[in-house]
Amino acid sequence: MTTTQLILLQVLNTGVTMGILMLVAIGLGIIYGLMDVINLAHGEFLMLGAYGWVIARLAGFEGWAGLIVAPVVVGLVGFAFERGLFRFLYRRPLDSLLATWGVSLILVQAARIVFGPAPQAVPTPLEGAVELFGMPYGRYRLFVLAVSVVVISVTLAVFRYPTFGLKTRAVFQDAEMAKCLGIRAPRIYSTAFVIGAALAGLAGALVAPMLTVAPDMGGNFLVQSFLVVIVGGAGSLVGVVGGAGVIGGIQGTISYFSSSVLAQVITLTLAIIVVRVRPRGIFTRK
Amino acid sequence: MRTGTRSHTNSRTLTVVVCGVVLALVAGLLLVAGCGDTTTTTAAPSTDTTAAETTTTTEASVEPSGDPIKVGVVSPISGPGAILGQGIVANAKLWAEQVNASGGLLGRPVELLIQDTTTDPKTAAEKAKFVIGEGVDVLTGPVYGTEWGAVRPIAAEAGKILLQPVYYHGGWYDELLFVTGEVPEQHVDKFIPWLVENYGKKFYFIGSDYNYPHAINALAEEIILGLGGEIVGEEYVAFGTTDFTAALARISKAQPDVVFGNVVGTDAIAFMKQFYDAGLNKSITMYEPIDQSFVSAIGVEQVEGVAVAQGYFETLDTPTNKAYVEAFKKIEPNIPPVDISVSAYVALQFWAEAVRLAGTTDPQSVKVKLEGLTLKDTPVGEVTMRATDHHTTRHMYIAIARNGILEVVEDLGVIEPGVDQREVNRE
Repeated sequence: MTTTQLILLQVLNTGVTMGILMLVAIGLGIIYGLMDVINLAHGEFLMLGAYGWVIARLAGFEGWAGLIVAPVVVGLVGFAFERGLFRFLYRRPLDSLLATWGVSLILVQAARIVFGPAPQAVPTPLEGAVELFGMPYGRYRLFVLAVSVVVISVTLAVFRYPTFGLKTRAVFQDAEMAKCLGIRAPRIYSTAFVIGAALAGLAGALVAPMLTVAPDMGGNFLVQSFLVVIVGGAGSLVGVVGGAGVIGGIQGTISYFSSSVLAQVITLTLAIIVVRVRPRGIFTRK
Repeated sequence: MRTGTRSHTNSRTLTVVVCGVVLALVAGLLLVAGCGDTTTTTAAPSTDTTAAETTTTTEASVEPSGDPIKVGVVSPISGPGAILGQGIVANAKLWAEQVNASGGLLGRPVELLIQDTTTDPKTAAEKAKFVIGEGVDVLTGPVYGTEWGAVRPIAAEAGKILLQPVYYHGGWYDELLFVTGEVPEQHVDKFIPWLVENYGKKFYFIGSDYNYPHAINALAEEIILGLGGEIVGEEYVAFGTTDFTAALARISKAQPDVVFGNVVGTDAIAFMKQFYDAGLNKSITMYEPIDQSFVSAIGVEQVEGVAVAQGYFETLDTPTNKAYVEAFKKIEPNIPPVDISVSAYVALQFWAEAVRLAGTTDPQSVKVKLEGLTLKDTPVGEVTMRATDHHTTRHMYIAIARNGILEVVEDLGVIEPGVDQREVNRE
């Protein structure tokens, strides 16, 4: 394998990492940016998404069904929690921190009781490799890359173009004013929350075949997503997507040339610097 | 408009009710589990003949009577350590059932005080204090190093026997601490030469970044270099690493004969899956300290050919182990018996034998009998508790994953736990 090939390989792999990170962080960013809720249970939405494969298998569906089951199930769970709990916590970041931490513990232990404490395997739905730049590359990884790009583009478009996007951005910028102008903020909140949860669920379903499915798998992704939101800024989707690019890129590059431990140290240091110098994130104006 | 508002309100009420029900269900489930965790289990004297047959004692089967002898099992039944904790608890239950079926201990029934640490050191400390307050003379159960760190000083101060069944980096010694888990010396002393002989001299070290991998790699390196081999790479990954592509690219470039991996927990699963996906399994043999419960999580094809060295495998072909496995499956059909949990069973067997010899459960008298004690016939083979440092001399076995089962291919024989663990400092 030549050096050029190795670098290309690394670029592709970093792309996969970034894609997953963006899918998870968008939800976290939306929920924080719109409702001032710091959702510590967001990693558990990803975990539940990963269990989408297990649920699909138990329901008798083989093959790709898990990928469709995951966002739907997690979207519904997100809806239940939004209506039943989170909507009472809007604009109360500290209370929400405590409550969502509780929800996170409940979901992890519930998963452990329902699905058992042992990690479970998810077979790769797309076996084998394709020839790319003269080297083999996993087809499933390419698939994950493609899905991430498409889904993120669609999400950005949804929040950008139609009326929903316009209203959402209005609520984003000034909730009170938007309400005065007749926008039903609670409905926007609810929809945005469900979209965020479903995206995390999808991300969970996408990573499961590359990793494993375990009740406590959400934690790592939560930490990473928080770094993304801190670095990119929670104010806009573009900020979150940019943040995921920066974090994913740095981690990919440094862990390639050095070690994953150093990569973690550097991303954390970056987050601290950003909090000090640009508290609202690199990609947020002012 | 008005009807619209009304139906909106109705649907909102409905969603609140639905959400309430969902949350209540979840809470209920947790409550049930919570109760299960903290119950006191008195293993009823059983009339089950298979259980009686498997006990190593020859005491007559009389009904145990008098005050029960209490044994503390402070284990992670929930939390990340759950799978190992539940295995330890099941083994303790099996042990108690067998002891009671064969007339109890000193004629008295044994009773387990099972407590859930939730894999949290602070909770582990509280639970250890609780069982000591209830009058136990012996306790076991923790899994993670953080839990041991919390429980060790409490047991030592209270003057209770503490049984440690988890393989670890070595060097722990307390007057009343008895270790049945393996130390790195036992993992590498004969296994590394075996790897060199069977697969080649070029090794690549990769491990999670904590003291066990560092300790075992230092020992392994010495042996490999001594045999004229070389280390073509050494790296440690942060806990929670999910993407191993960078490490795999380096391994692919270094082309070792053996990847000596000590990546642990769910990180190991991700690592081994990605190792397989990258096609590296075709030319490189991998070692990872996995047990049977990992195999289904990684995938049968993905683990094929992985070599493991441990003190116990379910597939050990001895009559004692077969009877043990059969009895264990009746207690816990869902979790396979693994090195760590079976070592807890052996530790309790040690303790029971020492109590019989001492004629009392008094920790100081039991300690004297434990030192140098040999159990000829346990599921893991012959085991001796070394008098000096309270670590066990025990068999090590090599298994290779074949069709999803870790099949024992070689018994490396009895291996000493290093020279003296009291001299070792690897914290």
